Amino acid sequence: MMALQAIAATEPVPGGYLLVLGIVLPAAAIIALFVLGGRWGPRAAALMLAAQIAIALRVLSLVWETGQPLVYVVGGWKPPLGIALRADGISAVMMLTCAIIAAAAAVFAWRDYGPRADGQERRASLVFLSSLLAIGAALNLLFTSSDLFNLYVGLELLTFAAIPLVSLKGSADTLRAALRYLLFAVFGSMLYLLGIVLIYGAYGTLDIAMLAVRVRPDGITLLAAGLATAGLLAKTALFPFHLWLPPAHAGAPAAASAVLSALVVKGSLFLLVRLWFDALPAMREPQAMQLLASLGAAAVVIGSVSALAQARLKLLVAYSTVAQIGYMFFVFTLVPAAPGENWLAGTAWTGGWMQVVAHAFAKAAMFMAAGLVAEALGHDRINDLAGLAKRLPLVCLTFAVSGLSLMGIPPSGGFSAKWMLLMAALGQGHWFWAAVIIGGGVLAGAYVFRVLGRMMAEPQQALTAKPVGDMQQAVALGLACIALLLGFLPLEPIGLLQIGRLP
Amino acid sequence: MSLLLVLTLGLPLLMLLLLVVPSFQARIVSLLAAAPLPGLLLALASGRDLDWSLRLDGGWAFELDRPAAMLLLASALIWSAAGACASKWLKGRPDAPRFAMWWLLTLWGSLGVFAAADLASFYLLYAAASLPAYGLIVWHGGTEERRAGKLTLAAGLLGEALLLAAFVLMAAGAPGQSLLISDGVAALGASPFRDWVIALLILGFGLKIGLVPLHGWMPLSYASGPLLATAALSGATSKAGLIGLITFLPFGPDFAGWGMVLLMLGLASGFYGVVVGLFQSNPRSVLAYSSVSQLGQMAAMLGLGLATGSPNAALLVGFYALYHVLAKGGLFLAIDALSQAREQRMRRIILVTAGITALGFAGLPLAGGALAKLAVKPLMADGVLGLLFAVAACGSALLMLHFIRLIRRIAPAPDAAASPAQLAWAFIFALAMLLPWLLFDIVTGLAAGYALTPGVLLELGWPVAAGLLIGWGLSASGFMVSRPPTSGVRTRGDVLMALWDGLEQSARASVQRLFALEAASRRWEASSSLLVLVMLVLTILLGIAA
Repeated sequence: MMALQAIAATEPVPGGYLLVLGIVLPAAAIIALFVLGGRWGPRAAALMLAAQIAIALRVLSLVWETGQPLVYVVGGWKPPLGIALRADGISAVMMLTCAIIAAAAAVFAWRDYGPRADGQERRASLVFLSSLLAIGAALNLLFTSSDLFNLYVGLELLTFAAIPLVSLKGSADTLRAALRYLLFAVFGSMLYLLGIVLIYGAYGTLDIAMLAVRVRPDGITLLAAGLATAGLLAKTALFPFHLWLPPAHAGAPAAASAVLSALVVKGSLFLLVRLWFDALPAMREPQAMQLLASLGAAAVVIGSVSALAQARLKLLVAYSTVAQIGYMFFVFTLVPAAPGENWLAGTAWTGGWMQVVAHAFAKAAMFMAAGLVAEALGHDRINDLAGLAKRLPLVCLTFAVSGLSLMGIPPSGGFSAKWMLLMAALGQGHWFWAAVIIGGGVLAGAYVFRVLGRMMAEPQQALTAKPVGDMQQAVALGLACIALLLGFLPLEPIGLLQIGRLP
Repeated sequence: MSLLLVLTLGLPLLMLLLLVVPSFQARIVSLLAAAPLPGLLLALASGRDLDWSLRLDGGWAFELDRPAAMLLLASALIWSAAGACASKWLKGRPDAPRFAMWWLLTLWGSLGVFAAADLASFYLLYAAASLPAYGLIVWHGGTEERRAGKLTLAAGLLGEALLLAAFVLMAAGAPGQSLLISDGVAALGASPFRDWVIALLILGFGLKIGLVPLHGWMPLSYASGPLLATAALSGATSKAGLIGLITFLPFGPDFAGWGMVLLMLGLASGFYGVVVGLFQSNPRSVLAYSSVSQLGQMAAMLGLGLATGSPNAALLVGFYALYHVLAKGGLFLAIDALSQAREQRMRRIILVTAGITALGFAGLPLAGGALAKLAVKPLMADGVLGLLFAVAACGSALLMLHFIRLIRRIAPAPDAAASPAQLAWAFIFALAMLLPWLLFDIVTGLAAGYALTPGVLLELGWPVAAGLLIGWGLSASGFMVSRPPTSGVRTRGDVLMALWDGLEQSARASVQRLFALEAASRRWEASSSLLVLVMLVLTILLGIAA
């Protein structure tokens, strides 16, 4: 019976080709970028980023309408021989989030990395746009792959697409940060690869649906799960494996930081959820999941406190990412492994994904705002921000609005996420996790207010600020408003996110 | 009705939005007094039968019941009067738009919270009434004032956290996880989390109303920032906590134990505020401790209502609080007015009116406060409790005598006549005296003339007389020396402040410690070996279960 369901899950569905387009088109655009040169290449890339949004919207609407995951079997060969792409509810939501933020980042950076009037090619422009496209392709691959090796390919592609963004400025500092990121990411990849090799050796397949039915909790499988999880934790920058994140995210240009913090860390997180909820659902033992949640709790508390102690705005925002990633790990313990899930499990699941999406939008907006501050002032020292509200009111508004979502003030996606996670935690008697979720909100309030208070203060001497682009301000504010608008969704489990979850 | 509600919430927001446009800034700053007017009209229009509500898609709901309407009325008035002064004071100042922003945000939350009927909008508006006050408190930017602002912010954030927990638990126990406050309160009796919810509510709202020992931020914040802002904050925004208790406490049977807890805490605040207030030499600190005492007494009355299961307590305490909104906010305006009055006659008028208003807290017969005291009388059983409340009133009289003696010696400032505080004070004084007379029969069902019967006059009058007599005796015997007023933020003689200082220090120390821990975890060898460790522990944990 279970095996039949597993096979049914890979029957092709009309519209499945969209999933291929989502991966192939960005790759084709990278080629176009190189072939067409400085004048037309960036335009082709921009077109493709817009197409990504259209594709993601279509995928989302198909999944929603049919209530079924979207499946494409590459070359007509069904797993385990062939490869199937499969978009369930969470894939569709993440594809859309990713497409919107990538396009917003491109618009934000267009002035610096777009085409030049003289048609000259520039290294930075080429690197930025090709990385952005490659990240889009890699994430779409991650979101739609249905076997663990394809996921590994997506994960590697994602890392290698992200590293050029980290070192885009080319300074010694950013190169060091990129190297640090690379080394730690490779360490993580090795652990993950080792894990899936063990699984392949034991079961002869890496197809998620088949593994879900076949896995037995024997020694090899346990070790494989431990290895793969540890590797993914390193790539997700969960505390205490975050050493690479603050310098990497704070050193990149604003648009790149936005993509790195909003999207790239979510790739490995997505894989981790796939691994535990789809491939190894029966192995989610409470104690092991509590270990993950404990690390998440430590991330929330220590990441927030570290953000509070930072002197530079971009580092504060980066540490806030370290903290916000932690919330997602409560899902592992709040969605119980036992079959016959109660409504609280659905609440926790929705809350967790709401956290991922709301954080993506809020953090992208916040990094863009921080970048505009640095551009206008030539520095981002928090203590010297006094008077900024008068000079750049929209930038400060963007910071405030995205800050509301991070603090969890309604109406915002951050509030909805926190509300649902709290509901699930308290409803199941997990008082400790609830306390951490609430405490994290207080600390977020403290670090957001610390910045806002400085921005609003009266300067000792008149602040000199260069003007910043209207388009950049509009994009940042727009993303922050999306984080806010997410708060108008009803505070209850969202059916879309449940579509296609493997039994 | 709905239009007025939309305007109540929408006008301050619209004005905030227009502040971004440079060409509108001066006009918005000059119109601060208009921002609360829709709220005022809403409260008036709701009139005698106040049953209406507005529900929006997505669970947002607003409604105004009687206690809320009375608080909205008084709060809109004090915001408007203080706003008129603020506009004049801000005219031509370069930092005016910034002040107006904090002002309007706080005003929005402070008025909106009275109409919020679902958990999410209450949480939002309550946050708006609490957190942006920071900007007003640190306005003058001294070290002590910044500390006051930070403590107020910390108390606000902590209160939000406690309330969030309470609200989630409340919704979890409500049918269909309804977000409506009324559904949550109705289901509280049968909820498995009931004791947790009530405890969290008392702590969360207690922080806002300065329930001892949660009051530490209040004296500091009331002594900081412009007086005009303090008038609005002390009069109106502190009532966000009170309306919280009124709206969320289930006044019915089964909660007698918690009622007693609130009664004890409230009475403790009532006395503690008076005693510590007598040590203060800054008139603003005296008023702050008077707020601790007064709001404590209101909490005690609500506790009594909870203990005896009398739903009427909400309405009566709302009426009592109406006087406090106007009188407390007004007295801050009176200090401002006094510092601008040079002529002897004007000074005397202000002092006499301020004296009447201040002694109204103790129930001075004929003053508006007397009716407030009279209305809540049925709540207090005779005997020991009644006596305790009378002693608290006597203490209030003593404390307010101390206040008047301090402000008598306030010298007129050299740059006087900068704001129309005198006019605003006259306006608020008149309303504080009149409104209770007008509303008395609606609230109690008794004719206002009841307050003029000799028995009532005697009953209300003796604690005031006793307080004044003790005050006279203390100063005649040299125990209470008349001191010139000071303006420092720090308080004197509040032993419980040590608790707040200690918490502040330990919070700082733990931030440092965690930050050091984070720095250590960023070392390569630490992070990598922890990764291997986590991998092994995870595998073992999985293995044990299997």
